[in-house]
Amino acid sequence: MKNSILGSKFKIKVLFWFLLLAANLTSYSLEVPRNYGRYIVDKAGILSQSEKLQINSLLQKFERNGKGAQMAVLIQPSLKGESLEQYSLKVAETWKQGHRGTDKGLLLFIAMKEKKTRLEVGDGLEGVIPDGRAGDILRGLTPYMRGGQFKNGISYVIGKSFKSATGKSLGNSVPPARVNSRSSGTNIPSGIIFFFIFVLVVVSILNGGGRRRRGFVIFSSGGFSSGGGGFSSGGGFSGGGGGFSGGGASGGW
Amino acid sequence: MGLLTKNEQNRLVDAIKTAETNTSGEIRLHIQNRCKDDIFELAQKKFEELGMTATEQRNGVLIFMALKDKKFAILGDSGINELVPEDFWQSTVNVMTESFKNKDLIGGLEKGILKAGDALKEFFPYQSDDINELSDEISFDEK
Repeated sequence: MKNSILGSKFKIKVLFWFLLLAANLTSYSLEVPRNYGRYIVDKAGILSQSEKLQINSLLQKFERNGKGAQMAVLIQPSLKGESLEQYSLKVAETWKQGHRGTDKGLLLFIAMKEKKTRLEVGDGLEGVIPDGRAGDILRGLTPYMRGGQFKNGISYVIGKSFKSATGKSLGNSVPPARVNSRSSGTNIPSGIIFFFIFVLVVVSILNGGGRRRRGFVIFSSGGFSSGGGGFSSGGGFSGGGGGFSGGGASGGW
Repeated sequence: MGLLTKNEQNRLVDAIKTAETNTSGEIRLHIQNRCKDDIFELAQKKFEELGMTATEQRNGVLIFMALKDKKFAILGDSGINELVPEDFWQSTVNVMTESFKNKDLIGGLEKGILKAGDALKEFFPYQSDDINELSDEISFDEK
């Protein structure tokens, strides 16, 4: 009798520790964000609203003319210790890009802190975009990322992927990456100054109160101080003062 | 103006009035023919040009149409944008696109206006001292 009571207590304890451990493990992993049917999710806040919309409409065009292929983009501020390959595969499997049954999905994943990029290619496209080709495309993205030209870089990858998948041009002309050597001394201070202005803007917004979601998103991208070069696109503050600072979407028919 | 018939205009103004009932939010519609550039940027300029950032709670919503180029955008000011779900604008665009594709321009606009109105009613319920801060008229530009 006594024994069995002790036994059950012990079991409860074990279960408790196990649950605690499980909770710990799950809180450690980086969640797959919901994409709400959109083609691009920028959790790092490196693109302005207008840039996101431009990429979104480019990806819409990709899908319309892509012969069943579909592409999505995810940008995370950090991998939080997850493996690049495992995480991006998890996202690709959750979002399920590509039309039913064809497995012609493509996912461009960017982890800002780790400075890592990955192009996840669905089985249905591996014939036309083998690993080597995907690697080439991503190498072309690197100079854009170094130069802080994130929108152009993403647009470049989309254009190249479309060309590989369909043999045709998507029609988005992307200017070549700015040669923006990171070792040049003038670049770093301007980056740092921009970062401080950025932090000031964020702080003043947080103090201003009321900006729940947006404030948080921008704040979380503040950790880029060591991210290097040109911070040209912040959290979408074009106007300031009395300017438009909301959100929206655009479309066509 | 010649972009819409009088009857069509009346339907849209009615939709805006309905959408603005019981909310302090404001909705406006801008219609023009052409848009060669990025429609969202153009709409953003128009938003400011129409003085729509002047609402007290920053809850103006603009629907910007380029009829001939078949492009449109819907924009919500910071106040409303913070409160609606992240996919709200995109889902509104999708609903409208559906009608536009079926050649039902006015029906699509009505749906968009009323959907925006529902969000405004939810997050900015009517206050007794509410004044109509922005004109309900449609803004036209024969560009």
